Amino acid sequence: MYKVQFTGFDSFLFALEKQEKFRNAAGNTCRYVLELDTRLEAAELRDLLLQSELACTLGSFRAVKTRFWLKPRWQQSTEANSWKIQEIESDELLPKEILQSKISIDGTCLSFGIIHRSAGNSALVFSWHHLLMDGFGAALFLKSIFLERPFSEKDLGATTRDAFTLKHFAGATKAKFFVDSTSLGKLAGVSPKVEVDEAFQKLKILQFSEEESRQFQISSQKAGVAFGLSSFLLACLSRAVHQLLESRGEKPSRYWVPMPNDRRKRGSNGPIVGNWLTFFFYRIKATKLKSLKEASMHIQLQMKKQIKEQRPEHYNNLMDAMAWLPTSLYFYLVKRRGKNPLASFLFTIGSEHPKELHTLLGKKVKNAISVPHNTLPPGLTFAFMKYNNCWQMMLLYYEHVLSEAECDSLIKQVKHEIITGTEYN
Amino acid sequence: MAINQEQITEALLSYIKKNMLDDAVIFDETTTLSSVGLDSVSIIDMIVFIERKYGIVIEEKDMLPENFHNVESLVRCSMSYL
Repeated sequence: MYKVQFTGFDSFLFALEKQEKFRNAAGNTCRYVLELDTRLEAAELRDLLLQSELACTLGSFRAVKTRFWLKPRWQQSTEANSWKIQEIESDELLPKEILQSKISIDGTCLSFGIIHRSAGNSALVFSWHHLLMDGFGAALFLKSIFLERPFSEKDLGATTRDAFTLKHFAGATKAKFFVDSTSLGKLAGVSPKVEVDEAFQKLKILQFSEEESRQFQISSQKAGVAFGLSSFLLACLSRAVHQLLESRGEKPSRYWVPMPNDRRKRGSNGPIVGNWLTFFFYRIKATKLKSLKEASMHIQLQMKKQIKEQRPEHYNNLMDAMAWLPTSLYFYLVKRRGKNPLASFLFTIGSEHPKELHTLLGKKVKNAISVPHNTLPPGLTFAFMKYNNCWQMMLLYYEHVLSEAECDSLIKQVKHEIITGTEYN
Repeated sequence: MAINQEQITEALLSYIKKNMLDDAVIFDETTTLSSVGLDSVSIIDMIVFIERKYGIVIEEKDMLPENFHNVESLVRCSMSYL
């Protein structure tokens, strides 16, 4: 029986999940959608899952915190998983039945569904609770089961407890001060202050052509960014959100955006279980959002400073340290910062869909989309992912957070700025 | 003692292999950084490593894409500060 330690970020998610008042809206369910060229039969998929040691092991994992002074961890349940596969006939990318469904950590943290299209092909939907793994872990999981890779204990992550030293404690303290100081004051957010009984999630996909995808790098360089895309993309998004809030008559002065960064080494095949993420925190001043170049530079300078000062490592130390806290105290410490949401909005760039998974069970994969969780608040998440040299942007929001018209104008501005590298309007 | 290009290349390659890449990844000074998944965060990390180790500061005017194509171009750019 495996017992797997939580990473620091897992414990953060666990505290949110256990203490969040509006659990219906907590939104920690993630999905990976693989559009296939032919029909996929549920029995075929079920057979594969029943034979996969990795799928059966992960399917039996339950999150436990046995004593309030102990770190939470994964423990195997003895219940056998029969892999009930939900089948739906629909031409919608993600029908409501799937998009609104949530995975609870009280049972199996992963599930599969098949959407049969009217054209005769199918889409495979893999849903999992974010606590079990991150987006990169999910891609590795799919690779493992569909390529029938032999199961390795290393896939599971930390089965032994890491030592926490004075150096880690010092790092954690620095991170706490950094997070508190950068998130000071009133932060801008799209989510209304009113509480809702039930929140309905929506998803829009902005698909870029190969030619448009090539423009990403060119536009980014036009905005003065020498390498990578994250500073530029975050600048485009911040400007669009700022424009949106101004159109609502608000006068936001600063944004606070945490951006996840994968701690795994590039090219690694694991671990699959756990969230191996740390964060950069960007405090974006509204005065710096006047031009794309100024905004991109403002963000890039913060990134360099945080790497220089080892902020992401320190933040990871902080999450490791807080993992020992009772979830109620953890939740209080995270949420007590005034009435601020945890972020102005969420932004992530996922890794490219693995080339080895361009076919599965003999069927060609026509497209792959990773849909991250959308925590409420802030209730607005932008996620980028590349498939077959083409970028796509997933925009997740809740009905009460963004209207259709606002969503359309947001998308229009983001698309224009990314492709042209020039300011919209 | 003067530092030569080979020494910086060796130090940077060893730093990248130890901290950023899985053992299975084949990587040398001519490998395009983006082709092995090294992103903006990794590149800034490399710059910070060179700046700390050799006591230099790479100026804004040299923050150009052609200087961050691979380890060879980054080392060549760094050499102009030594």
